[in-house]
Amino acid sequence: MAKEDLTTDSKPVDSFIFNLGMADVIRLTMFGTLISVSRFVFHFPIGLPGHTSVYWMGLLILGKGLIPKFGAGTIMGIVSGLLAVVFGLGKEGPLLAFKCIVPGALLDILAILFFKKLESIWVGVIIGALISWSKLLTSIVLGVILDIPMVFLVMGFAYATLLHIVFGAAGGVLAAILLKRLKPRLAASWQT
Amino acid sequence: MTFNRRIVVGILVLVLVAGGAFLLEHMAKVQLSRNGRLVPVIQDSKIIAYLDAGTIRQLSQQERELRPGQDNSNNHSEVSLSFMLGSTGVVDYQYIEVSGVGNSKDFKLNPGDIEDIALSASSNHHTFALVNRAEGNRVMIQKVAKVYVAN
Amino acid sequence: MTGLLLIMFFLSILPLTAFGAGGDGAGNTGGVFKPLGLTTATLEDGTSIINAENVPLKPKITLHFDKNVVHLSYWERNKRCFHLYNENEEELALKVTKIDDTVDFSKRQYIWVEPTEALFPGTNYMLYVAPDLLAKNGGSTLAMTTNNQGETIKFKTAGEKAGNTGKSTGPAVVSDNQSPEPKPVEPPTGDVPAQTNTESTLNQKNEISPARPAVPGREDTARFAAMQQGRRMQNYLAAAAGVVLVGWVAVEFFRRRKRGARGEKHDV
Repeated sequence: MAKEDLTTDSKPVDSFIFNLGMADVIRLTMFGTLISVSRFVFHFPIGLPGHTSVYWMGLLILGKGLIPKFGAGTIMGIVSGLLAVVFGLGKEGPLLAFKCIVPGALLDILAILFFKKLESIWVGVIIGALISWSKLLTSIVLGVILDIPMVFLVMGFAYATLLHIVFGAAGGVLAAILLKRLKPRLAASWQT
Repeated sequence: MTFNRRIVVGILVLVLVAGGAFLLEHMAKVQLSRNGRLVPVIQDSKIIAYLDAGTIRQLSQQERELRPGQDNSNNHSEVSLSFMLGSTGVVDYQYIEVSGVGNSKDFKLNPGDIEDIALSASSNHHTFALVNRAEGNRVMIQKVAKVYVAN
Repeated sequence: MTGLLLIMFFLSILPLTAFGAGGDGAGNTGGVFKPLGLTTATLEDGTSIINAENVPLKPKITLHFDKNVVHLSYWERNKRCFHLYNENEEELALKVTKIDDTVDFSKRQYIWVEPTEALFPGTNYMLYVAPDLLAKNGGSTLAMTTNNQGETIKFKTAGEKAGNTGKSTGPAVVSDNQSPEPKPVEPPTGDVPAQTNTESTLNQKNEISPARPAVPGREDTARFAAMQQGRRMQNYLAAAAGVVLVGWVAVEFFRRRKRGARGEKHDV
């Protein structure tokens, strides 16, 4: 392997995964860690399903917005999923990782559809809501796989959908606002 | 497609997802209730819980844990009617009326009658049956459709 | 490059190592769950009943938890976790109700508790919620937030204390209905509320002897200790992840500053 001069920022970084440089992958790993740690640390007793989407989807969109390359969402999803399994943030066991990977992967696709303009509030609303809902759908699919009775999957689905959309959209809006402020500051050093 | 048009489509998709979820839940309730895959427990003209074959299996497991040495100790898909009623939050009643899918006969059971009555989940049809343990698990209703609790 | 690869390797391996060491991660059958806690305990007018005085003689207490506690599968178990005691540590009959989550999902964290008979005026009472109270996920228990002691809510009823205060107003049973033939149980000994494993319903067959007692036993204590160890491991892990994140922010900050300084030098 050729030696890389890490101190020279002007030199393009070799692709490591998904056309992403090593520095970006490490930053995305940090975002993934941040997502899982926030889910572990913050316990809001508001009793509404999907409220974690505010910071979960918010951080996902923020990470994707700051490192706008294909695969960024997936990497954050994989890392947060791995850590969620380790933290034991659910009863699905190792399958829990999919609940984190699916929104991340969907974020990569949706970002392309919206020309990667994640700093737009409306894009934040749409993408945040949709990836939050994809998390709910993944939970239901996992429920079917884990043989959870149909009654618990069907009942309250609409209520949970509505709340996931609302909280996801809120997270997307917060991310869009943060992106607007952070992107110009970090553009020079992060966009390698 | 322009960026603004994509935003409009995106918002429409969100509205459709939210509306579709309510429609889907309602349709699923109606459809599954019709074929006995989702069974409402009704008290005071109000639905107090929904049951399905999966919940019967879960309740069976709980009953075996809480009532060791019961009749269903070897049956993993059978729960006594009394345990089911307790689990759904039924606290006081005069009689229970269980009806089945289609033209099957309805059964009216007084508190003293339900001792040997159980619900047994079928493995193939995602439905559950009303059986009498005292008569060697004689099937009283093949596919339970509704449980009515009279105060 | 090698250094960065090592960091990546470390970041991936650290949690797995901790997971293995803890031996109580989600990988085992039980899994590790967020704790279940009591959020509020209120009367019908919304005021808190915790250490309250002037509580009505027939209070309907709304207990709000931070997780689903009404799940069908665990309701028979959970409704046995509620006990009401008077000053003489005699247990009084309770009516414990819920709204099933398959009907109203938004009420899944609420349990309503009501004494079956009116309480005595000016008397101290204690509502005890056993640590075994289980959330829908099948793993979160009240033991996690109460140090395995359960939740104790003390309150005093309104009015003047009469001569025969402290006498049990009702039978010593835990019931989720108005029981026609209540069954007395032995008054508790010691500080810990006694276990009640009788339930009176119209159908006597509905009686259940819970597999585990309402008060923590030896088995529960061992389970609680194992769970605490697992949670401690998780907390170390969260702290380690936090340190790594702070380190990252610091590196990014100094990198930016260094570059800024270099830029200024070039300008000069």
